[in-house]
Amino acid sequence: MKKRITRVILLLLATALAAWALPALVKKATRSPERYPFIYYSSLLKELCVIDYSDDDTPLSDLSGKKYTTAQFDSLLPLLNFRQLMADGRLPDSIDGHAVTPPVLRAASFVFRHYPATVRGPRPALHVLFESMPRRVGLEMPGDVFRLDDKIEFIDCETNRVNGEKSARFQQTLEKRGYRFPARWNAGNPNPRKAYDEGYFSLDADGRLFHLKMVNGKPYARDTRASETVDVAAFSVLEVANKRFYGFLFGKQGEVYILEERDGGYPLARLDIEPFDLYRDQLTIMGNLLYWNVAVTNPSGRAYYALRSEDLAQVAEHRVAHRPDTWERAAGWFFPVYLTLDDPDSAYIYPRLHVTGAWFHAPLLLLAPLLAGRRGRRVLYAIYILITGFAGLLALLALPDTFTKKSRKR
Amino acid sequence: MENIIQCEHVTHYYGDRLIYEDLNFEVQRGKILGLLGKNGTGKTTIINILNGYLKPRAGVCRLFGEEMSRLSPATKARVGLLLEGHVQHTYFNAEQIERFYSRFFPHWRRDAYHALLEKLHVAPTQKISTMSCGQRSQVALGLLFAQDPELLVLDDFSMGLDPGYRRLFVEYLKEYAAAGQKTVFLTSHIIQDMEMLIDDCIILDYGRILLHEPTRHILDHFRRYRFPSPAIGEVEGMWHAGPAGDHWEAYSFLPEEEVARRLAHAAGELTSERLSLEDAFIGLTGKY
Amino acid sequence: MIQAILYKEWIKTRRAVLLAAALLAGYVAYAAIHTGQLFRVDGAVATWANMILKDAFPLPAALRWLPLLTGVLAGIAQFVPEMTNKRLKLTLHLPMPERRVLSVMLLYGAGTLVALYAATILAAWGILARYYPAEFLAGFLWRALPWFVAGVVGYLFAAWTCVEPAWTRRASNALVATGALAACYLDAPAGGYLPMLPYLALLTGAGFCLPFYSAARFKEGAQ
Repeated sequence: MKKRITRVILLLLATALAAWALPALVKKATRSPERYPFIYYSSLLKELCVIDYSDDDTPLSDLSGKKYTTAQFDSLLPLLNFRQLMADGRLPDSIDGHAVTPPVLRAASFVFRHYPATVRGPRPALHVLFESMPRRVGLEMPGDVFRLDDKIEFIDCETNRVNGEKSARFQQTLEKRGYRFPARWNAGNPNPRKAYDEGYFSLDADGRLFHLKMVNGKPYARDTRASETVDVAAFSVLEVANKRFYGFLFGKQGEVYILEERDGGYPLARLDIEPFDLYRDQLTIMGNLLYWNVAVTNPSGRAYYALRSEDLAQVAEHRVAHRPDTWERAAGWFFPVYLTLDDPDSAYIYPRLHVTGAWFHAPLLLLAPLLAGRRGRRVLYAIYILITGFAGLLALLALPDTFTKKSRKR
Repeated sequence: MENIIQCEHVTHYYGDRLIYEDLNFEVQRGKILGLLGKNGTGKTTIINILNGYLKPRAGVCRLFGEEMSRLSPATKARVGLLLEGHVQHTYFNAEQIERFYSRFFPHWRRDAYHALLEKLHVAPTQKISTMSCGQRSQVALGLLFAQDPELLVLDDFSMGLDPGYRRLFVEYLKEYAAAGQKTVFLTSHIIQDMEMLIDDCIILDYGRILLHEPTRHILDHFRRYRFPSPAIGEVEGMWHAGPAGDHWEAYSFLPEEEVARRLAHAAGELTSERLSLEDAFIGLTGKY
Repeated sequence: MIQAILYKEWIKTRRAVLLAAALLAGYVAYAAIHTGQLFRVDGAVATWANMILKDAFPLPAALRWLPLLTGVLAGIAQFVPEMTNKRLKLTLHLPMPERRVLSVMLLYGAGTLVALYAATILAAWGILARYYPAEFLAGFLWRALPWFVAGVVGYLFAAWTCVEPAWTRRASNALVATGALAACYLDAPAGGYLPMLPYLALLTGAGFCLPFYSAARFKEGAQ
């Protein structure tokens, strides 16, 4: 190992570390989270309204800026505030011509969230299949877990052994229903804290989406036939109280559907929103009896949609553009390139190179001749600092033998 | 004669402090050369540079014709190195360290090592870290004799040794060098021992070599002269003139008649003395 | 001659190696008790549910730092004695190419650690395999692997820092080492580190090269 080679290795390592750690520290010191307003569709005003809970007197304003008092806020957004209206004894009998009762409102309300990290990360390999028709109220952990890849197998928790008999039953059912192994992925909700269980949705080797659940201890499997209309990219199960649908289905073209439950069939209904990028966009849906409030957030900003619950047609839309914070501006100044190892939109750890393309750190180059003793190195150091900015400068400083030995020459 | 050690134009600084400027010397095969100098004149620094453990600001040293920073394994096998303070791997015991080193040298003389250890009552299983300074030095020197190198480089071998040990090692070294055209390069603080041992003498002053002569030459020709009063100024060929009690002293390599002539203006009786190497050293370097 | 170097390294580090082995063995024993207790008290169903719902790690948390601790310990035990009284001069004076001497020393240390870690992983695997299916075991391995890599990298960086002759540079080396090791300890779900493994291999490679740089500086007498 020649000394010069090891020195270059050290320089590269120190630069990489500085290009990771320095920006991370600056980020930590300067980053403030993007604060988008909370926007909800008013079924009375028939428009999107901005809610600011920190404003005690006038929490509500419409998009034109008109302010409303708390009492007005409650009654203008009855679908959001029905619990408050109920407590005040002000809940109307009908909203927009629809008869409402608290149970009806409650059953239709749901919140759904999608984060890119759930699809950009390791997928769970073991799943929990609950009994869909439990004899008693509430769900109980079943005492086994299952894997579904090139076959389906149930593994008993107590013995840590495959339950051959149960596995064979499910295997046969899946095969009989035309499921072709191996599975591409399985989507379900293993958390027992939910109203009921609709089992799993599994994409088979042919790209067909199957519904798998356990009813009275027996396997139940069906081809949803969703793949006949959509190229399925992902599915997210949501057990909504009113059992209207099974969950959200994402198509490879950026479409978002719900997979509805109707007479044993699985009709799709498309959300009337702009194409959605599963791997980059965050999605929040707050549904109520009449309207769904959809927010799609990505690096360029947030888009708000109000959809009619009945047919998911868009009734209102609003956009808020992303505003760069101190960190993003600082990065452009000091870090022409930098590294991150993690990413809020991914569960994976690996180095990601960011090129900000801003080279305002050019004054640093003046330091290169001070650093480099030998004339031949000055150009080299200047180029290195030009490419790497502060990170490279720091790495050069951290290295022995960078400085001149001028003072020692006599 | 073949030059075993060659140093050419060595210049070195620690920071801004000059250690040597343009140092040149060589050591021929079969010679025992002693490097003498006051503290801080860079004796250990020379040894470090010789063995490639310090890159001087300028200049080059060669051992067996090979440049010091790139000594080949074969050359290293021909050089026995004793570090200042008899440094060795102290986590070994006396037997283990012999086993370790024996694998590296084809002409390993196991007996030489054990003979020395027995002579000095070191148990084979004694751990080096628990040994006394003297015992440790025996292990270090014993290993060198077992290695049987053509060149021995000893940095302050007599450090911490009592007179008996010192005398013993001086005898060992003499015998060793005489046995087969071995070359020895050593430094020491105890100049008495050197007198019996070394063929050639390099005396270092701050920044330069003061003198490089055969020891015999120094002992035969270097004298101390005493004379009563008046101070003399700088006299060519006279070293370190100064008062000593009610007399004056000065040192010189010049013959007595010549000294008498040069000191003619210093009235009175002139006496001359032969010197031991230690006195000669002080005469040459001054008493601080 | 290589055997002689290995012999020296063994004599020098045997206490530290035995200590590291005892620490790891103690951990495995504790892990066995811990796991048994978990299944007795909480039950298999709750424990498995915890793994699925919370991506829980099945072993006591000390495993995060244990490899790093043993790695740095090994590095210190092996290279501090070389640096006291600059004994490395004796080692480099051996009639063997200097790079080979240092390579053998580093491979001894890294090899010993890898062997200890492999034994630890196998033993832990053996214990866990009685309780958990293969998917959980794989998750355990992927989760713990960066920590074991940190042990080897920590050893190499400790060697690099010890061999460095100048104290100020030792400090900056330690800083670089801390930064590089931090990359092994980021929060990630089981399997989240998989794409990072090639880069950790690169880091290990770099860690192996750096002691040669310090050794070259040592030879030049850098201060």
